[in-house]
Amino acid sequence: MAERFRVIGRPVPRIDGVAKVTGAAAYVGDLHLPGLQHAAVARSAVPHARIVSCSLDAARAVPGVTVVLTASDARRHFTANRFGPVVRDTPVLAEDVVRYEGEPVALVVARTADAARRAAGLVDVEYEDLPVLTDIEAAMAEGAPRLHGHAEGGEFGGAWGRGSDPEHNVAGQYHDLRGDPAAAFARVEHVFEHTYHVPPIQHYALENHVVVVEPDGPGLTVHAANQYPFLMARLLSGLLGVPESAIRVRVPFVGGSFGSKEYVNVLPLAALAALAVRAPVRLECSMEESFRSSSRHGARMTFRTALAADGRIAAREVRLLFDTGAYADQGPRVVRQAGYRSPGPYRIPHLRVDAWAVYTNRVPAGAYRGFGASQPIMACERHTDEIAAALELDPVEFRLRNLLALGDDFVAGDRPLDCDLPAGLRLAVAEMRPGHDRPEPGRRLHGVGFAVGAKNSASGRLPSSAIVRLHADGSATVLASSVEIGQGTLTMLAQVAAEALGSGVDRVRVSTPDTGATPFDQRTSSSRSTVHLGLAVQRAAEDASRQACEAAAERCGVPAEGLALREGIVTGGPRPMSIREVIDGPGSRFGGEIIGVGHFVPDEPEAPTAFGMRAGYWEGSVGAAAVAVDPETGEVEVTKLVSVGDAGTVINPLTAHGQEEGGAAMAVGHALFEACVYEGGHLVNPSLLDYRLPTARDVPAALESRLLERGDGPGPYGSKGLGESAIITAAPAIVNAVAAAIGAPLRELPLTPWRVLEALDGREHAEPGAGRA
Amino acid sequence: MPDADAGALATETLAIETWVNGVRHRLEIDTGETLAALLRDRLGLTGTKVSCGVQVCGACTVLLDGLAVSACSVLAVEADGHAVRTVEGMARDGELAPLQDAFIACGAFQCGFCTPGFLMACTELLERHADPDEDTIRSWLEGNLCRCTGYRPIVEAVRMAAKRRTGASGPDGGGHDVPATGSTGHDVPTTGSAGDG
Repeated sequence: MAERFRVIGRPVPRIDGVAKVTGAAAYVGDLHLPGLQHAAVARSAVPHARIVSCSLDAARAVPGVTVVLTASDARRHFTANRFGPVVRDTPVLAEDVVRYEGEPVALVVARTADAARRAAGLVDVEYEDLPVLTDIEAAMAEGAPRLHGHAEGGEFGGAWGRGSDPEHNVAGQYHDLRGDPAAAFARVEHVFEHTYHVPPIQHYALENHVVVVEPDGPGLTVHAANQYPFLMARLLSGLLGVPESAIRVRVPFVGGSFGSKEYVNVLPLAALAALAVRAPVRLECSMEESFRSSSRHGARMTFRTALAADGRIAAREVRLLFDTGAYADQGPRVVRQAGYRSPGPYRIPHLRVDAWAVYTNRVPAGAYRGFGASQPIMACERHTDEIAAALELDPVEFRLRNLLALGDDFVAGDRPLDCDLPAGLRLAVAEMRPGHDRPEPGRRLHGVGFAVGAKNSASGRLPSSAIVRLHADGSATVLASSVEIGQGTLTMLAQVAAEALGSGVDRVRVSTPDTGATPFDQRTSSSRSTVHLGLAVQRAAEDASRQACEAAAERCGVPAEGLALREGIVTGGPRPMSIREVIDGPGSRFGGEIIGVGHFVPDEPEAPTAFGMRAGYWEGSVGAAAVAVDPETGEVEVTKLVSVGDAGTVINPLTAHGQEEGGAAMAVGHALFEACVYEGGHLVNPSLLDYRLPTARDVPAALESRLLERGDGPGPYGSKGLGESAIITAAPAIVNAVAAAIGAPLRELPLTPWRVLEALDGREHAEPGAGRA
Repeated sequence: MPDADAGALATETLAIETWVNGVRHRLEIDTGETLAALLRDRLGLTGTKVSCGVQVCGACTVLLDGLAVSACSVLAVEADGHAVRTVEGMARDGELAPLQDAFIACGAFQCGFCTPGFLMACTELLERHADPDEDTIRSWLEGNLCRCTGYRPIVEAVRMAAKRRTGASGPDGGGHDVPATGSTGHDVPTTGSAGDG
């Protein structure tokens, strides 16, 4: 690729590099404003209860406390004490009922963070316990206590909210029926049915939820660690009843998110605090509070497959139950995506899918990197291996027999598959060949596992705009609103702009989002920034370059064709002309700089499918893992982990492989030890003392990323997105490897030593705190 | 949820003297104040990040007399008479340290929130081991969590920096930066503060 492009495809060092290695990079929590006050949240101590009384006297008496706020204050300052992306079912502060342990009940504002925290601990609430819903099936059953009444649609409303059925504690649902699966099941000899469980898990972005809000005229300026600056501006504009222009949301560097920093309650809470005290307020959560703010859905997933005699899938039925916790959050969107993707990228003539997001009295579950893909792909790929094992088929051969090829329809009407999964799987097999499945001398059991997945990324109507300001010295400022959550978006956009402007990356500066100044971008999610915002920036830079060439051509009295901008000089005409001359020369129409504008609008966001939205592109992924299992202790070591992604064109190998390796490493935790453990409605491990994350010792040194490049992606220079590709298949590959090593099925995550031992020898092992979705 | 300990901690103020990145500070501190709060809120050294708050993640790692400690769980008073080094002290006269250069070259960070802690932990590692092998590096880094990179580029950056150091100062691995200590004759505090476990 390097020959075709000047800077695309090169391992350009990150443009935020120096700031991040010197400690100069500013995150929201590093911001200090004069007169800053601090907010702290008093949270529910019980999972489901009626609030009998709430005494604020002791909290108000703490020196330094300026105000203590409850639901009535939220109603007074806001148009409604309610928010929520799909359905507005979430109170900013609890009204008469709390629905999960940790729900915000009162909000303290004080001169110091310490005083605010101490006062929040003194808010005295008397509760009358209500029945606690912890089981998804029980919550859906007739006669179960109802957690919610009907609520109006939120920012996402519309199609996403149609499945809301509070009568049955259903926040959202998805159903699809293709062909005649019942008849197909009756025709075949082999039918397989398995049920899989994954627990709720925590994003654990290193930076906790944090927001600083300043009163600003009739509205607010908000400094937020958030992936959705424009939707947050819309949300707050609605809550305050002021124009969107009165709300300015700025997002500096974000210390990781992985989906956690979307519709979080800290934004409306901090806005309420700032409105109440008419001063800047910071609300910074502890890690325990972050654990109690959002999670990835735990799920119970049943896959039933009819297999024809030739080893081809004849029909499939999928039933997904997702635990969405106490409030809908993004659950309805997650479960629709999960339902749509659940059959896997295989040829399936007859299909039925039923999927529900169910309310329980647990921490709300929402977006998580691999949004609605990780859970069904885990179940589908385990099911695939179990079928292969039962029929004594090679699991790779079995997949190749059924996989969709490049250009096949996943579903007619959606974008055809633009990733080559069979090629990816063959590459992964080749990577695993050298000796990794050969047992080393010793007692450990060895296994290799594979998993394949495809995620319809960047689906639907997700527009982006960008502005490129070409300065008189040939350098450029890119105004764009992609959130730098670590993925390298600023560097990627700088490379795209530099390529289009014919300049060096060091001549380009890229803004961070500021809804009061930078142009609209739908959101930083769904691996879409490279494709959507990348295209907008490319078009803006090309627009600026075209304007420069046309003006130079006019000045010289020649046609603009054949002129090009290179290193700040328009070349190809009668004489080279500097950008300074173009902008400042006699007769210039430019007001001191050239402003290029670019937009991305999806061509056909709608699709005639049960899901209803057309993929921006398919994020294809193959994971491969080698493991060693100690049969005495049940301990699993991942000895090699390979991810194969499909980049279209790699814009920056350093950051592209970084996304892949990081996603695969994150999945090690998901496969082996991460789980939010509940006892009834109580989350018992909301701390790193009890919740284990992968360390440098858990992730193998042999962590390898391979990227397919066909240059055919819809993004700039043939690129595609990558942020979620590795994570969706690495965990099922690890679990399949462990199952292969021990020769026993595994249907429940994480693979703690106890679970592995249990699977190995069928003995019952006492398992402390075994959480189950 | 009501917190039984809220407001229970009685504190008093105390005068301390500490050297931060070679600069002497005389401060009136609160005895309940953490070293992280002192660095971030009083001295404006916000490069040191706080994440888990329970001495597990390593984001707040700084060097106290050359030893990696978790600033979220070390009291400011423990820095009295001792030298503290933070990420802000790594570059000299605008010149990045070899480790910082290597982190950029290898892509050893993404969101960057864990990076100051890793840089400080790796600084001590390279002061103790001139040319650490993969196993030594990974063991050493167990006290620092990164959720973004998968660790491979961090390990690679440590090796790159080690090679540059040993290459520049001979095979004996000399040329270590000598940490600027307070020279007060106090022993390095060890109780509950040395290392991240």
